[in-house]
Amino acid sequence: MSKSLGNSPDPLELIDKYGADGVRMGMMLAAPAGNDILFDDSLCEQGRNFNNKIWNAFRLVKGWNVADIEQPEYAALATEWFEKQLIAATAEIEDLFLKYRLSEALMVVYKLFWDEFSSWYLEMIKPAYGEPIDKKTYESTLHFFDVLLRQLHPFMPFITEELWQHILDRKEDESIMTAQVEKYTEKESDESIKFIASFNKIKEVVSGIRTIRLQKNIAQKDSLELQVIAADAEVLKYSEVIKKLCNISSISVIEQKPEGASSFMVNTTEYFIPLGDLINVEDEIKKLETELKYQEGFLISVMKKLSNEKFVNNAPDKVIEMERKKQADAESKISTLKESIASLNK
Amino acid sequence: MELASKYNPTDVEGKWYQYWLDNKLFSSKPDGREPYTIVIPPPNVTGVLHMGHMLNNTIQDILVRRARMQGKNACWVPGTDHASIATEAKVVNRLAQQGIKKTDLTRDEFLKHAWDWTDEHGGIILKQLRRLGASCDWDRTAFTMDEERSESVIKVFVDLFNKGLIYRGVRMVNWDPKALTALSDEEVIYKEENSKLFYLKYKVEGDKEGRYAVVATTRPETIMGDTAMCINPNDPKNKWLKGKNVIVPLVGRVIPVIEDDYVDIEFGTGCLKVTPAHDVNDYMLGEKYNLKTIDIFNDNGTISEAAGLYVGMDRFDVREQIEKDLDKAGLLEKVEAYTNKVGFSERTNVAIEPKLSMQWFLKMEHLAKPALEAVMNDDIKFYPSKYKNTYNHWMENIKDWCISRQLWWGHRIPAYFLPEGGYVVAENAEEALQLAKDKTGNSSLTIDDLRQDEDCLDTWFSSWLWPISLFDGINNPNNEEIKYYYPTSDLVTGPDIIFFWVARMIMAGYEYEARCHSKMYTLQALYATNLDVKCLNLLVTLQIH
Repeated sequence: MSKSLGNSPDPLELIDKYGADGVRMGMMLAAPAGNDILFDDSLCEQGRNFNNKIWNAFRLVKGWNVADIEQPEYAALATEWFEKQLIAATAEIEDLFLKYRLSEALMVVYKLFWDEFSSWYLEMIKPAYGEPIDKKTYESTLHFFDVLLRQLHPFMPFITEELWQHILDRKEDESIMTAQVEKYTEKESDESIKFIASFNKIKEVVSGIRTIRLQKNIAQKDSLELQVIAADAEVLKYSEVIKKLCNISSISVIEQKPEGASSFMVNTTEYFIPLGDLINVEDEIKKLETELKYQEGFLISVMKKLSNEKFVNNAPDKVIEMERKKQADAESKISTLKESIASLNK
Repeated sequence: MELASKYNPTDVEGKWYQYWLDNKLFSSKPDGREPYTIVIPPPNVTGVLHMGHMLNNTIQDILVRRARMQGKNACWVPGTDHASIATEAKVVNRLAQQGIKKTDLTRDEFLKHAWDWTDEHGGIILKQLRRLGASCDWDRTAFTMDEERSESVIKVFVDLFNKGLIYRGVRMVNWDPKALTALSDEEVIYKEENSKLFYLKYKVEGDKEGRYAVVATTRPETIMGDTAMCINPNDPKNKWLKGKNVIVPLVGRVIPVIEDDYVDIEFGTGCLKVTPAHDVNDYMLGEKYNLKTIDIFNDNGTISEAAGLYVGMDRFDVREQIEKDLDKAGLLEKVEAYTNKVGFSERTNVAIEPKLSMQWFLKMEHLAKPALEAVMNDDIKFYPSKYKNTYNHWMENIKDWCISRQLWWGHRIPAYFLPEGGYVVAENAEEALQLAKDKTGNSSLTIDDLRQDEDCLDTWFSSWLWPISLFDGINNPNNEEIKYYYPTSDLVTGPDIIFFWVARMIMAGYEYEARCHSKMYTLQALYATNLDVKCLNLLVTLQIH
């Protein structure tokens, strides 16, 4: 009944290359309801990558040793948080299905799995290398995986069946196909919304610390201290999670800006990481000065262009705008660099 | 079971698909649970999977799997469409490669070739759908020309005929000179063409001053079919022609000048040539003024004996030739460049020839009414909802549906012609014979005296019954399955077939089940109209329109 027009890519070749689940996901990523559709092979590749992500996450969890030990506080917090995330996402997916917005529903599951579950939750509960995980957390994690696989199954039937069969010993004729999607009787409460919001702040604190580690080239194994002025009580409540994720030895509330510390802001709260002997001050100053020199040189070249009347009069607005942006960026970098150097020289 | 270190889809996909089949997990039978039903938009039986199917069926599978996991009794019925005109064209092409013409074969011989082709290629596409993971209840696989579906189609034809909704008549139809069949209005695609407007001189009969009327036309090759010239009675500049006769150029035939408000005073000179056999509007004028019709075309678009001139030449060659001949004879005043809309066959892409022809029609007014209401009051919903307007527009302007096709691959029209003229309509030859005896009072008639109509039905005349005939609702009304699974829950299809298929399915639903898809249609499938170009950039646009 349908018309076959033109030489579209051969669907079976795509399946050979990316797997059926990958192609299904690629199609859905390309197809927001009722709009023109842009399809590109790379969407199937994205689908395949997602399959690999799920597979690797599963292998990670299944690779842990489980021991009958007490559940650490960070893990208890993490499981509580993820369950709330799951309930919120489930309601959203249900709503999108009712509106036939299937691509958006898939995006919700996708982000839930990739960002919240894989990048955040699993990192939070992951036991230290060679250490076992407590039984309670492990079982919650398997349950979450099960729920996620069931949410994913309509979109990606094959990989979800394969992994679902591996979570537990299943009966002879059992299948994820006929397992029921999780129905949460619990409605998303105000308390739950607040809980998730607090966790979002924690994520920002974690990102701030990670950025400093990256910039200062401080290895994850070197533990850091975190100091905070006018602490957000909500955040402090979940400090065990921050400690776990960022290898923080202690979190303390201070009255005044400390010297020689790197800092970042989350909303109106300022956080500090005293660097102490974690970095070689002389090397660091040298590094910053080299960077400063480069930025200053760069700024001069941009200014030269911008003071050239011929250029300013003839270049398209877009190009000029870009040059001005370069100028502003360089100026702000230079001022930050100067501040950092000054603080190290003290 | 140890997990592989890397995910390898090929190790996993075939294994689980087989597991699902072995455990009958796709199969559905009526039970106490809430049903969730989808019928597949049947792909052409000899088709192969393309990206449009891929997306369409992925969406269906997502919906079906989700419903199953919500505890519903999910049933996705697969099947294929015989695609009358498309398949017949493919078979004709294949025979041509072997040096065989369709006209050299009997109906039965041709159908044998068509079935061979169908058996050879049929169902490949359904196998391909398994690769995608489609969770169809394969035991229910149907074909629009299998026994159950064929019986349903014939039953419905007879029923609608007996209700007075199907009639036979000579009407102006859209003729496809390549496929040699009539087409429905929906199968004609109008495109803008750069053509010419010819100004022809029609001499006034017996005029002492040798005056002539000038007629502007895009189709000078049809003048052999002219049987009148028409002016508008309110047009002062042409008043002098009133009551006169004019002479068709080159042809020499004397035709009357008639008057009708229909003529556009502003177009050309305000004089219109009337060719009732080859123009829909002229046909209506012909009916009104009882004009003769001269069919100057053969079915393949060449000029017929009746034309007297240019016999056997192709219509487009004649257009070129006649321009020269008119010019030479001093009967061509001028030629102007002109842009007009020309209808083309959706399947063969040749210019449609409006042609008078004896065809079967289905009256639509009665059928369209409940189907329009159902959508307007949201008993049936479209996603996205913008298609509600499209639907409304079409349903309000609906014309009778030409359901006969001059093709062999399809459901043969169950009308039987009698030796003395007239016909009867019946589900089979035996019943037809009984009707014929009753009608003629001639009890010595035999089946051999009856001649069944050679034509077959439009493909959509079977697919419009699809959601009902899949559950045998026509042959066995109120059976357990139709009561349980119908109306179906969601339909996933492309907006390009809202009229061909969706609207007509809704009509059939109200006619035969007094209800229809009380839920909704998801319109999301797409057709790759500009794939060719975009593929070069490794970018594919699958468009909705």
